[in-house]
Amino acid sequence: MSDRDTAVFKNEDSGEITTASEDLAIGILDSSKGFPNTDLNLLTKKIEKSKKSKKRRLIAVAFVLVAAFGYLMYQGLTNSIQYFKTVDQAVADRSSLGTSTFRVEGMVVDGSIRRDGVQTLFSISANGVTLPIVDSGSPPSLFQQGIPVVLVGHFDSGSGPGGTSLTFETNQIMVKHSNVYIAEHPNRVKAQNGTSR
Amino acid sequence: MNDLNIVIGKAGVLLALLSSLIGLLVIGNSIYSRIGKKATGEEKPHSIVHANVYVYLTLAGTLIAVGAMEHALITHDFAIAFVAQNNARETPLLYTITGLWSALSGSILLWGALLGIFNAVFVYRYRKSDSLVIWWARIVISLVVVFFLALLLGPADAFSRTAGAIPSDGAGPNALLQDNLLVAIHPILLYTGFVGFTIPFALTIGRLLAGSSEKIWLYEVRKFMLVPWSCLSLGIIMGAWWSYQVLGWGGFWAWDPVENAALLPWLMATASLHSNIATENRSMLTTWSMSLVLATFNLTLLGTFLTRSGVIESVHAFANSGAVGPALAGALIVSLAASMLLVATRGHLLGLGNKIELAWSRPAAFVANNLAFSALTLVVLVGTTFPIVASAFGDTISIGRPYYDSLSVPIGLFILVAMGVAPVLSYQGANLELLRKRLFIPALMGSLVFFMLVIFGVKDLASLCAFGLAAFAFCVAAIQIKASILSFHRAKSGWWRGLIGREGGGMVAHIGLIIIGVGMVAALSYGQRGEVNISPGKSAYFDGVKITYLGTKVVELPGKTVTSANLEINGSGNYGPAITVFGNSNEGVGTPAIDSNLMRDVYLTVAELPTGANQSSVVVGVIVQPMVAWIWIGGFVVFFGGLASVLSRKKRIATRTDVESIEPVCESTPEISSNQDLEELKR
Repeated sequence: MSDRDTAVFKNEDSGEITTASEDLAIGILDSSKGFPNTDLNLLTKKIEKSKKSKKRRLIAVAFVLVAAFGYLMYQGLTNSIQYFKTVDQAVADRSSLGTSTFRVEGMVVDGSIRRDGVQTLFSISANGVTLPIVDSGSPPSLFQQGIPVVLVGHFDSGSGPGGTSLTFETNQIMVKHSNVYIAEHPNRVKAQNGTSR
Repeated sequence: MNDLNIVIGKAGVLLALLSSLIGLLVIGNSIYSRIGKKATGEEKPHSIVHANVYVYLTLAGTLIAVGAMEHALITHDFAIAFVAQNNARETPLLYTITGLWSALSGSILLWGALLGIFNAVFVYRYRKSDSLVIWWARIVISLVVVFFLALLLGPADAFSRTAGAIPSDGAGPNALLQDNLLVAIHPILLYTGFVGFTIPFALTIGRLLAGSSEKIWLYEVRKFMLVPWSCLSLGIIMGAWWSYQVLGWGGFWAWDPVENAALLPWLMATASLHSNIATENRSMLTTWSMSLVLATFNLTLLGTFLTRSGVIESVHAFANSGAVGPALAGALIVSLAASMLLVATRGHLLGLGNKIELAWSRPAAFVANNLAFSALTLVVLVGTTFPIVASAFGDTISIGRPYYDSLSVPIGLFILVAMGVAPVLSYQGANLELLRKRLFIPALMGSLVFFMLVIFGVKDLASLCAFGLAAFAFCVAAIQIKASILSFHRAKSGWWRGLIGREGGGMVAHIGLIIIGVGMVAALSYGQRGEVNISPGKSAYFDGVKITYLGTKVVELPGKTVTSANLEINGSGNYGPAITVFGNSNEGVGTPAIDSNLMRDVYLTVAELPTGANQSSVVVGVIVQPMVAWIWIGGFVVFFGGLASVLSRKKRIATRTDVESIEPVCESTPEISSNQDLEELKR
């Protein structure tokens, strides 16, 4: 037996050795091929057996953990998917979107911003379709007319397609960072001056 | 004169590319002839000193190119398209300089220079080495260098000429990128982190190709891993700080793809730093450890691809930059395939590794740590890339916060537990009496914090657990550091040595991470946000904070027009959240004003400027969050802890070797810990 094998063997067994007596442990290490003493053979077999069941238990625990983790991830994903639509797409998909939460992108219509108590009312538009918005959160300081925004929220319930009315409720307005160097994204809305943001 | 910057810049890039190509050929030839000689049995190790000069030339070339670009920026040489797009005459000097990394091609130029520096340091360290591992590693690094330099000559040409007539003024950098000093720091830190992971990756590939199981390379991998890891840690936190100070939303982390792209390699690198210890000391987890190093580099490529190719819809702006995206995707595929192939076919050459059989031992704790960090990596990876998969089916979607929060909170709590228990476990397995002795005070402190908070009315179980476990893990780390400092002090070899080396620096990094965690949980769970409408000279209260509005002020500066509201917090100070319109931009940028102390931050934004006369009221957005400042402090602690772990404790080992012989290269960790065990048991 090479040096290396001994080392591995020692390490493998060290967990069990602590429970057996010192002499026994040395005995096991010295000869892995069996002992003249049958009692010792019985003991090694017992150890082997407990090791196997330990391994089986480990696999079972690992399986349960992986399954639980996978389930959590699946749940998390399906609960957190937010569709991202431009205004025209959102209005077209009203029946399938219903009152579920999604993100909608559009440009704040000039002169449409009004304050009503704690709410901010305005409209956004994309590709010729306009959607009235009710914001119950606090708009970020960058918020102003004529800029592209992304809103997180949902259609109001009503009697239209998908049980909705044509009003979008949001409490989260994100102003898209404008960058000179940003290239056009197919879904991106153009600003008035023709630059894409 | 007109084209001087362009000519010098391009020449620099060309010099760098050519020298790295020649260097690649020279080393390749040396390896080829060496392997040939080995086959015929007449192998004689020889040096490749003559190849070193090409590495230094590559560095010089990239530095010349960076110098030319900076010169072009400072002199407003709008003949270069990059300068015209990212600089304007009124841009302040600082933001003129940082203009280098405010867009894609300049960033890649900086990237190339940083890679050149890392490469030169690596080669200088091994300038005389005849090890095949180093030779192969240098081949790998050269390939990465060549790839990025080729990007600079092709799709991401920073020195391309402005089309048409040269404009008299440029567009200026993005308004958001000229508002805060952190813009000068955090991208460099992030890039240093990303670029630096090339070296451990190359070393590991070198080990695989050379089939070397020598332990010494593990220490080298760790050292070259720790430097970029520290920079990336601080870079991520500084990025969060920048976003907090500039973007006006009062938050610091949004699970945005850009943030995730930086977090992914950090998570993998953190896991690898831990599993590497078990590999160094006990030859355990060998294949796993090397896979983590390789995965870290591949995740940096993935992150660069995600942020630079425009495949993901994000609040952050992305540059959809022509051929750079596909090139990065190609590099990722090649690197990933090579990594997996090598681990599968040659991984066994690095040693098969010992098994971990003891449930309550240090190696088992490393496994727990690795499982947690890998799970978190998987969560973030799936969340970030899922929209790409979905877009293949025609849906534009994004994955919301609940997904990340619901999974990262339990994993984070588990990491806190492991962080508390792992440092007191020994390699020999659990000694229950010892464990009880070592964990008694930390557990006591943890439960004390838990119940104190319950008494003070904290009800949320997750944050209660987070604070309790943080106190527990903090105590463990603090006690370890104290013991380590004392033992060095007693040995009269400088108490500060207790803070360096893997053990000392590691514990400092643990404490930094705990501080970050506490700050985040406090701010996220107990923040209040709202708006107040105040007339001039009047005050309003929000969450116990008195805000007084004194009036507005309009300042016209050469580069920008700033309209600020003059506010006092609790009757003192002068806070001016503002709306700023920059030079050529037609859109305002809100600048928050923050009153920050260790207990809480008051974050003020202008939600609505007074219309017309100065007499009308202003609408102020107010966010009050406790302990936010701790996050930034923790970032620095992690940074210094990480760098301190690079330093060696050799001196102490030298004094110890007088008494007992210890392998000098092994930092005597197991011996020390087992000695400590004995000492403690005797007491």
